[in-house]
Amino acid sequence: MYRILVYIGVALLLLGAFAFGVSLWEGPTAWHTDVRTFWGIPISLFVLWIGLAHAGTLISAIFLALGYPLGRRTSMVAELSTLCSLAVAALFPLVHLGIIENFYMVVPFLDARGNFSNLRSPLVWDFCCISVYGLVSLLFFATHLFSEKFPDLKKLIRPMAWLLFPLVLWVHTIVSLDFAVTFVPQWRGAFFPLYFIAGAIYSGLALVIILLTAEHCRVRVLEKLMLGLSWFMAFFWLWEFLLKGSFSFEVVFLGAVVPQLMWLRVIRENAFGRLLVAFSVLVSLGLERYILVTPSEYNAAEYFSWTDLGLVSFSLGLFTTLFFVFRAKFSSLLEGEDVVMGEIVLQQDESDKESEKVTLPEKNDFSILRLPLLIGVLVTLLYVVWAVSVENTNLAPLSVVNVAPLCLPLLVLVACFTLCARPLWGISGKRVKLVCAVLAGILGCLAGAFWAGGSSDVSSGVVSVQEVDSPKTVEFIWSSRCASCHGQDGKFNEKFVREFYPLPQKLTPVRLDTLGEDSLVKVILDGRVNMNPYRGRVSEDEARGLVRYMRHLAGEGE
Amino acid sequence: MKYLMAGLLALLCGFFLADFLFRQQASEVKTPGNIPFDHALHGDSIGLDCSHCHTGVTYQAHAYLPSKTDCMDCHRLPLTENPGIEKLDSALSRAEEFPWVHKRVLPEHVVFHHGLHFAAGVQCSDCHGSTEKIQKNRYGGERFTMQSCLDCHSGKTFEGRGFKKAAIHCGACHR
Amino acid sequence: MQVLWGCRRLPDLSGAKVPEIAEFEREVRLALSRAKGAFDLVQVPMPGALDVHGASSLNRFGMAIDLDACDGCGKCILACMQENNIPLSSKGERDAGRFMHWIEMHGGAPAMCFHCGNAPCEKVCPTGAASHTPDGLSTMMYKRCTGSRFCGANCPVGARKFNYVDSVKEGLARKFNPEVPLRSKGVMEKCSLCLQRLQDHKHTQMATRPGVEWRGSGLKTACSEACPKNAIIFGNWLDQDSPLVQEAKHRNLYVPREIANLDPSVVYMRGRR
Repeated sequence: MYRILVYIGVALLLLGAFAFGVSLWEGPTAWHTDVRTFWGIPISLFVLWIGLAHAGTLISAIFLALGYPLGRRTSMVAELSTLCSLAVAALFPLVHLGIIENFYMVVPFLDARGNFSNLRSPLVWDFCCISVYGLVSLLFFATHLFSEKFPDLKKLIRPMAWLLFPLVLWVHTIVSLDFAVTFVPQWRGAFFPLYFIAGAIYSGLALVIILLTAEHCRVRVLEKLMLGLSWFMAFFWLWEFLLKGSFSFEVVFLGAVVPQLMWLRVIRENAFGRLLVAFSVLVSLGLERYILVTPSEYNAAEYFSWTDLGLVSFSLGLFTTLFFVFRAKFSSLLEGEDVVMGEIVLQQDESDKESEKVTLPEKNDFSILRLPLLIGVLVTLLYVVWAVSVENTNLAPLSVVNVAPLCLPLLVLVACFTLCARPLWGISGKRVKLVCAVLAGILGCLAGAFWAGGSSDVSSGVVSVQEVDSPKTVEFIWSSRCASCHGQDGKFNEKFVREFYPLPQKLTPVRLDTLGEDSLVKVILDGRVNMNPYRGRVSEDEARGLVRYMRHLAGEGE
Repeated sequence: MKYLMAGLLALLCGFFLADFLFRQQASEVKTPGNIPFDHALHGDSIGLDCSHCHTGVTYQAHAYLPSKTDCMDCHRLPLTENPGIEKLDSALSRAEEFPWVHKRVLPEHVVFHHGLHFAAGVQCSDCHGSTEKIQKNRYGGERFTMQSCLDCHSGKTFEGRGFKKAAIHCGACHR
Repeated sequence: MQVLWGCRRLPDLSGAKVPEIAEFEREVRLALSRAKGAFDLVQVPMPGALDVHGASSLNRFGMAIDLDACDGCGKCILACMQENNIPLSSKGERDAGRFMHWIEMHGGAPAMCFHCGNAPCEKVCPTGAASHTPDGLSTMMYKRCTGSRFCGANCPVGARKFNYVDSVKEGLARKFNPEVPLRSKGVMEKCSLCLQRLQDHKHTQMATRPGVEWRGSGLKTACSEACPKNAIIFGNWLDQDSPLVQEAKHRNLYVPREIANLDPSVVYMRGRR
């Protein structure tokens, strides 16, 4: 069964791989953009997949945190789908960038040139939040997965779930702020954070229901939640229509009308019926994200190019492949024969398909969070103080308000790491430790490369011969060509002249007057016994000016 | 435990290695030419200032390099009793008009104006080192990086000299 | 090591096809024929000093465009293209209505970046490539741009242009002006108020007359120089002797409604007070 799904995934992946390659090579011209649409399908796919990732965390972490009893297998499927969704989602901002290799400039840290990214920008908050989210989800997944085999880890799960809970809500708020803080009329909406979170949970529930169906599992509470959210989304879509007049028939039909079929027992009890509704929800929300991100005057849905569809196919294929390859292959590798998705399989597992073994959450001691939280708060404070005080090459200085969106992710990251790094390291085998060491090396290399920032090409120009066009021409010529012997002030350049050169004549006013201007000009232009001619290097007017300057210098000396 | 140490070591080594490989490359200040020229002989010891040959320094963006005619202004006469002077003189007489062609050492988007810095009171030796050690500049072997510029502009490098605070916004030096 | 980070080769025109000047003129005429609709203008007071920490109290550069004098001839667009090495657009881009011109006609009024004091584009640039100078220019640092196009999406008047194609490789770029770098594919660009001219002028003056405050007097942008009707006036809003202030104080000043609250430095003039 899983093998078929992997094949489907690989097929979709290959179908879309060309589009992905073209997008990377050509850059933003590859997909549909127009005069006012700068973003397009990669960003809408990004938002969609981040939303799907959130639902995974909702189901596992938030349910766990709130103490709601949920099957272990459901939680693990949800968490795995989070990780795979994040992996897919993380690709798209990179594809979207015009110069992919400069993505590191978004990291809110100084580099070797003294550049600091702009902490006022929601994209920087985005980057931090999502990378932290990915890391913490990975740690959470690992902890949860191995907690059955290593019961020491069990006490970490609920505290970590409580750390993840606010992070999830915060990450999607930040993603919604990418749009809400702008001036684009279609993206105006103070309700955007709530709208985005609801949409994310809605689509994510649909995804998890699809994945559970592949496991021959069914969790009624999720279906009820999905139905409830469809009314929520219907309300939001009505609000959007009243506020902005925008309405998309496909989105509302597939997203609010079709899910109502779940009221019918024949649909609800049938696995295919449930699949149909869930897919309908996914398509609706995918379309809705695309229409949101491409706020052009035209009907965006009419302008899908084949690259856009290819990218969609690529993302679906990648997710399916990642998820089911892990599910089919690696879970047994990681966990051993008797454990499936973290659940120890007993003989009589087959009989209970409808409702699975429900494990009640442990009565946890949250005091183990105290030290990690303290360290997290300290690190966050340090960072905030440093970021606000960095000498900015930007005119407007940073205030604490700009750094605030980064506080929660940083706090959660440090706290989570402090909490579970040691126990996880303790249970890891030699191979995992070696891999970690190698990864640390690679991380160091990447950090060093980002810090150094590369070298710019030297311009191919050649500095040409000097043209004397300075506003102070005469003074300038004197100081550059005459002063080395005659001195800057008209007296000799004593040091140079006495040692190396026969003495020039003293330029007193009397002597200058005796010689007369014309003959002095001739000396300058045609040279003298120890002086080179300057004809061709200075014009006659300039020579005349020099003579007058000489007189001025001589007069000053008197 | 040893994996932890190995990991930390790998992290640090990786960082410094990558920094070394990917950092801004040194902008070479020396320019090739076929006339042997020794800055030590032409500097303060004989009473010459940098601006006597690099005439653009006082008012202009580029410092410029002298042409053969400029050298001949002094070298038309044998200047020392040093026997090497004949070799120099013959090399000079055979040389082309512009023996030193200066390629730009800065990237195209960077603007640097020598005259501006001179007017602000910066000495040639502050950036380029003294004539005795002209090839080795203050920042360690001919490396003008953006960070070295910013350090001086923000007042860190020459604290006692009383320079006016210089611009650090991007538009001051970049196009 | 010229592998990845920041080591993009600067666009180098050797070996690439370079378009003729006539092609640029033709493209400007095409753009004029496809001119966009006029802005909805609202009246604003004369711009004063920038309301930001660190802003200069001596200089705030800007322009005023006289709508009564402008006849939409488009010479400013061509001059801007030649001053700033703006590339031609490929056929696909032209068909999509996208030109790379920094100045565009909106119903007979030339529009470029308005250099807002409270610029929405600068706020959202993730890398800090879009920044403001103390003299009131909204600058664009091409080397720091990663091409996220957030600034372009957030400009209410659509003044920013993205290099969707590699103009040098496609034979669309010509280096008219050696002082201005060519932009690589994947970076945003927009009107810079001829930053290169400002820099050269300022450096020369500060090198030759160090005691004197620089007010930018006598400077003109390429578009203001080229306009046969003198409809574009460049100057210093904080300098009472600047031709900009001299003219603008007798006129009614307008800006597009979308940016009226953003403190723009470039305004339109109409009628007399």
